[in-house]
Amino acid sequence: MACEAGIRKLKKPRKKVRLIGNEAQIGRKSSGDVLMLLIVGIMAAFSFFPLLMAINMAIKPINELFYYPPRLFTAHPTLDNFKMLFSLMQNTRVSFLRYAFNTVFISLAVTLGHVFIASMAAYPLAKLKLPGIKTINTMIVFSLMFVSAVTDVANYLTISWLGWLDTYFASIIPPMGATLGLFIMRNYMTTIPDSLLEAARMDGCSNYRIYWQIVMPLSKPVWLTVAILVFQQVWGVDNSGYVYRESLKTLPYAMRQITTGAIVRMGASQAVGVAMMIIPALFFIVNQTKIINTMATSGMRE
Amino acid sequence: MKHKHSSLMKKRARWAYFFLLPWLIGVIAVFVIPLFLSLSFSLSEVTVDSGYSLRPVGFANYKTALLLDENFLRYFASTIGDLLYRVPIILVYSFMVALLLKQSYFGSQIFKFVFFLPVILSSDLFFKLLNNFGAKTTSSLDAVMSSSVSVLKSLNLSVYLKDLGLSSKMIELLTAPVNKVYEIITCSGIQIFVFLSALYSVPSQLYEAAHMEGANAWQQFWKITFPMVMPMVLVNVVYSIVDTFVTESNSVMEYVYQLSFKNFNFGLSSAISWLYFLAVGLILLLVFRLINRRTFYYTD
Repeated sequence: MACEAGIRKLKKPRKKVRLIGNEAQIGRKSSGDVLMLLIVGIMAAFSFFPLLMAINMAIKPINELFYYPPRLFTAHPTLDNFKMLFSLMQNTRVSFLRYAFNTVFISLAVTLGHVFIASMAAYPLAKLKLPGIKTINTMIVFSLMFVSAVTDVANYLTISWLGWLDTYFASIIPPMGATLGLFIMRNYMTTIPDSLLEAARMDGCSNYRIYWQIVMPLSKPVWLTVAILVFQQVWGVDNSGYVYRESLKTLPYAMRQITTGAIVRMGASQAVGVAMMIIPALFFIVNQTKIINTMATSGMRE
Repeated sequence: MKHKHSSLMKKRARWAYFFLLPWLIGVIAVFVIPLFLSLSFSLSEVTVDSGYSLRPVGFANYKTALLLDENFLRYFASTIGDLLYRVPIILVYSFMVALLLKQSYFGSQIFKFVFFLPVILSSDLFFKLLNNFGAKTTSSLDAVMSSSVSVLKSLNLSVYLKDLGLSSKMIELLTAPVNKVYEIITCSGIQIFVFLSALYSVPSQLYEAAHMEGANAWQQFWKITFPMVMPMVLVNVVYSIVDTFVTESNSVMEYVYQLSFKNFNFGLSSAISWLYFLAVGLILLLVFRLINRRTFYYTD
């Protein structure tokens, strides 16, 4: 019975043909669409609210920032805060673009490096049964607990011992060794069918080619997600602990220098919050489109 | 493939270790070495002059942390309490959102972006930038707003409520759940996208077959979606636990920071972090074992 009903629904032509999310669409009614939209909308409202607040604060004139009780929406929207931020940016000792370049460069380098190194390590950890691998897997789970806060002091000593203080290496190399991305990718890769890898091996694929042409394309959604995560983390890092030359410091450092100061800077500090959001937001959007494209072209079918 | 004298297993092992090598080097440099250094700190009295010098004192630091220090155990207990309610809620919430985001409908791309926003906004950088402002104007209200990570702070919900003439007890009751809602939302951003990437990879022929056999959506969810996503449930459980334990807003972490960078008591702070991480590591391993045994790995 249920089967017949399903076929009847299938016969009814749908107005739009969609490429993705195919399985749930087969039997879904348009009323379901509306209900879903409603639920997502309510949840999204909660997530959207902080951004609304941040933008609102950024376009408030400075006297309104101190209203008590504070108002949700501003009465006199203005771009003064951004103008002030720009004029402050003109006056930095090192050109503002230099800070921006450092941040983008470091973020991209760490993201690329981490995804590459960690995915390379994740493949054997997920798919090959060898002595020592179980120990390493346990170690990874355990190591997730030790964040930078605990190892900061010791890390400084290591970096100085390597002679990397005051270079780009100090900001780029250490975050690459993080285990979180590796852990996520390893667990994802365990779901890749063994038969695919066996078939490739039978056809004479080297391990390197299996990694590059089978494992990596199949786990594209996860390494793109890891890339978002890593980029997001590195973007906000203030590297002034390891780097003393002004020309090597990053945007978060510069921004904090600009905005912490007198109460006059309060407006600018709100504008900074919004300005710093732009790049991670763009990175996320581009990244997610890539994931969707993968979905449309290649499913994990055997 | 060329066949030399080595067996297939040995060959594969060589490759595997070769693949692992770059990461292993990294992990030894940034993780293993600092780990042992901090262990040696915790077992000695650290004095900082031009460099630093260690005087071994055995387990004295640990004794201080457990028996004399009045803060550590209290903070630790409250963290565990947080964990118990947060992790399940975060998991269910992020799974639900991921399921909803996976569908395609009007504006689904925009919704994805909206759900990612809290991740950006709750990151370290924005926490500092926005709270920089909040701290200056609302210091007297901090006592009322119990939550630590909350962009809502700048809204000062409690001020509105005060205007309505509610007593401070009532305000606390009302603001606490709101703060918790934001805590959960800001903490589940990454989990949503980890689930989403897992949902994308479920082979669609499984759903087609199930549909042919007459399984309804409810059955499809429990028999296909859930088991297929199970490895990532494990990832998210571990991630949520780690996230709860090691964020800078966590009271134990704050205490460690304060001890090491304000009081310069590196010995005691290392000892406390070691105790803390041993305890948390134990919980983590327990949970990992427990779930891993029930996890279904779709290998063939």
